[in-house]
Amino acid sequence: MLKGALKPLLSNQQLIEQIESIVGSKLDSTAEYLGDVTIMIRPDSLCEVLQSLRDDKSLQFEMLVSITAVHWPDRKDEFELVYHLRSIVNNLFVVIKTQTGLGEAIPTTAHLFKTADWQEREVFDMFGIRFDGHPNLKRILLPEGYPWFPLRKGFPIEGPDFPIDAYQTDAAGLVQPDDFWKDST
Amino acid sequence: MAAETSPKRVVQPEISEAEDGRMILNIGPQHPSTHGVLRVLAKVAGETIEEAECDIGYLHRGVEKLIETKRYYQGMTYTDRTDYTAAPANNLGYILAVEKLLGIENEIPDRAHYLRMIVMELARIYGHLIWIGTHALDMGAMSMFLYAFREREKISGLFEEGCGARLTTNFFRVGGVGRHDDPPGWLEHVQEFAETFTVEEFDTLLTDNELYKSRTKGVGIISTEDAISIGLTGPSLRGSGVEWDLRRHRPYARYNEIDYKIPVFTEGDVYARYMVRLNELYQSRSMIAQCVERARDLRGEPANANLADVVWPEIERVSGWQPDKRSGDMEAMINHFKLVIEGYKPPAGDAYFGVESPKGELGFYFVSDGSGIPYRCHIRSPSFVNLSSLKQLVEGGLMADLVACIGSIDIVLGEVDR
Repeated sequence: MLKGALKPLLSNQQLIEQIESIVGSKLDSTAEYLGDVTIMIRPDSLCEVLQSLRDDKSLQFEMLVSITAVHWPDRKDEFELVYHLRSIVNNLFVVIKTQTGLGEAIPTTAHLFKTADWQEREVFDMFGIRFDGHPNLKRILLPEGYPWFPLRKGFPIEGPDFPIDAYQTDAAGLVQPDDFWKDST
Repeated sequence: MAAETSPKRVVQPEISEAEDGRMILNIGPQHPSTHGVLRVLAKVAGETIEEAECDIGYLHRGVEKLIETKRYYQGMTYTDRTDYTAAPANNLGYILAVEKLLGIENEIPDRAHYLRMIVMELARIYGHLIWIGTHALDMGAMSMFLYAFREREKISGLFEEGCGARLTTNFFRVGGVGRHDDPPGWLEHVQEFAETFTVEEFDTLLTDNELYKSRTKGVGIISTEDAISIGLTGPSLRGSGVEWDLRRHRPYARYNEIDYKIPVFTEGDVYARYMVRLNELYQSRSMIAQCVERARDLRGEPANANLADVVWPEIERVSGWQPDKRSGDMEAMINHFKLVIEGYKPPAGDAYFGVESPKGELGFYFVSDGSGIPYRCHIRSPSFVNLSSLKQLVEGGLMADLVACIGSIDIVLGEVDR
């Protein structure tokens, strides 16, 4: 039986030092906000950092809790990817952030964590961020053929810009032109 | 918002033939034992499932996007509709994340914490009862469903008495529990429930039931390593031999001040997951009794934080608001108006908070840009992640075990699809 530590085995300061000693050259910056340690890395070193944090004996970040993204349309690199990692044995938590531009791809972490398969598909589904090397990168919540990425900031939820025709799909999932509001005669 | 072309979906008939000649069986999305609108495509050879794929998204409502268009206090209503079998658990995850973002975690009074824990554990029993009823029904134990829903009805009644709603409770408020603190006689009714709720009934009906055991023991095994890699949380993780419970290991509210055990089973099969949930029912029952006692001792203490810029106007003490003098106090009116129209504004930054919901780790990740509306809200839903283990659970097993496996990971499609 695997037991989680009742208290975090490292303080946040120790955690930052330990991470710096393992993957120091890959880090852009580290920060502590509201009790959580956040590290910023470049996307090309993502897999290496995640693997090092997972396999290091003093950290053992074995569980990838969540993968998500934030869209900042005004920034040069529009998308910020956020990975939350947890160590059960050492009771530690760390946030890893990386940035990518529109149309660029991020290396997949599905070979490191099985949970990344579906979670990366969800990020792709909602933001249109491509994951290089993902075994099955296709839409997961929205239908195949849906042409938008709704969690991007430009996607309206109401008003004249709302793509009502996005809901008009036929039995085969093909997007049909919007004739819902038109006179049927 | 770039349009992108991708291959179009082809709707499968109930039974079809794969390119290699094997049979594909379509299960769902309207099938009683998929517990909602889950669709599973199983490639079978005889009775053995060789490959299985999940098709989800039939209940997708864009909850995250909707929350990103509402003020913080409005967004909570959507969380009721994700895991609707245990709505207060979602409410608690949401408000604890917002409280962390606001930096007011230490301002919350004890009484609010104990009231939250009472409701949270009622929700856990509520969720587990629906699970135990429907899962046993799938396995052919019909009477369990009736007993479970009889008890669940009592909790619905307690929710209704406490906050006015039976299903979509919207129980708490950022900063406390709002007006819903302990209506007269409510704590006594909760205590009465905790004393009369008989987990033993379910225990004797199912635990030693030979039919149930033969359907579930050794079925859908998932190893400790796989469970962690898949990101399983909650009873599914504890059924695979990992002692990890956010209430104990990352304590929030006042979970570190009451006594409870964390049931852990190492077999990793459907039966182990059942045993974890059954034992959690015993634990939650005793936790409710302890919390009621503490909450009673604190009767008369405030149930909301003393923060005029966050807690709106449900406290007389903060805003000077008196129920019989609604228009009397100009300051209170202004405060109320500003809080409703502008909302509270967390400083720019982000925060993740995970709570132990009945299904597993329910996490809310907020990004604030300093305005009254969340810039980004991500719901890390336990059902979504746990469901991704289904492929591993069922492949190589028998067709009949698929139903046991879907039931055992305790999914709610409202939460999977959000």
